[in-house]
Amino acid sequence: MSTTPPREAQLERYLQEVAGRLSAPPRRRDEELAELAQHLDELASRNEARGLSRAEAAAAAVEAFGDPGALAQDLGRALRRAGRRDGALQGIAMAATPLWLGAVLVPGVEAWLWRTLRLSADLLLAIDVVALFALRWLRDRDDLRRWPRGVYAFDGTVERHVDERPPQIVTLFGNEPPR
Amino acid sequence: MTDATPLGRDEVRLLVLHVLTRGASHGYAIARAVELQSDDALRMGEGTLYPVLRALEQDELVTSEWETADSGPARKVYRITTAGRAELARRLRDWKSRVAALGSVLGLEPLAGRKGGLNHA
Repeated sequence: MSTTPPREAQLERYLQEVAGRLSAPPRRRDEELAELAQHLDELASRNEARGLSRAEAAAAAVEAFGDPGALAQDLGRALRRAGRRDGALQGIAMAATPLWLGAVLVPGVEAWLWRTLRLSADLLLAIDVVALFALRWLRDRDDLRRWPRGVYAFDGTVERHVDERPPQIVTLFGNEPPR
Repeated sequence: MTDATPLGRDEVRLLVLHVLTRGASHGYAIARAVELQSDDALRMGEGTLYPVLRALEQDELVTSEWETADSGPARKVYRITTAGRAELARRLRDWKSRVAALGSVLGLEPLAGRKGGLNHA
């Protein structure tokens, strides 16, 4: 088990500001913050190695990242594109399910659906199943890309169990979990 | 901290794809590679880099994966895809023709088949 040293307060504050303004699912948000935290730390270390004090190095790193609100907004916008894809598939599944139930359970509904939309109960069921499987597959694919091995928990710490090595806890946000 | 020229989103997109043709890399290394190669003349603002990386991922031009080394924390590593290489080739063609056209107008470099451009002299 290893723990990183406490992060400079300015860097911590910057990450908290991004966290507070980033509109994304919790796990995705924490993943983004973990990546930004690593980059900020490295940038600050490099600045320090160039002769700046710890506080100056952190300030320069924060300056390089720019306005936390703008960064959170830009990141959120990019992340929402994937959300729209999932939303469309969820919408299809949510529309197909009650229509299928109506067609199966309520007399006359299937005939009406066929007359108006050329949709049979079997076709609705197929649409529903395909939409749900596609949604599941896309989410799994995205998750596998991001979380290839082990267990990651971004509730202020990253916990990873990788291969045969013992679990490691890496502190990302000092002692305080992100909001 | 430096007087480096900040890059726009399109330029960052092009440079990220280019850096990744040399191999998988993480965000910090991508930014540093651009600074190093340009002799600190260009600076890839980190505030632009990550939204661009997300957009490239959404467009399936790059993929990312958290990877672990023997020591240190897990890192998110990016790789260019086949579609990303094709996109880079297309953007490079566009970029070259744009630079050639600008050079011709500014009298810096004549377009092929022309005798010269506008000269300030």
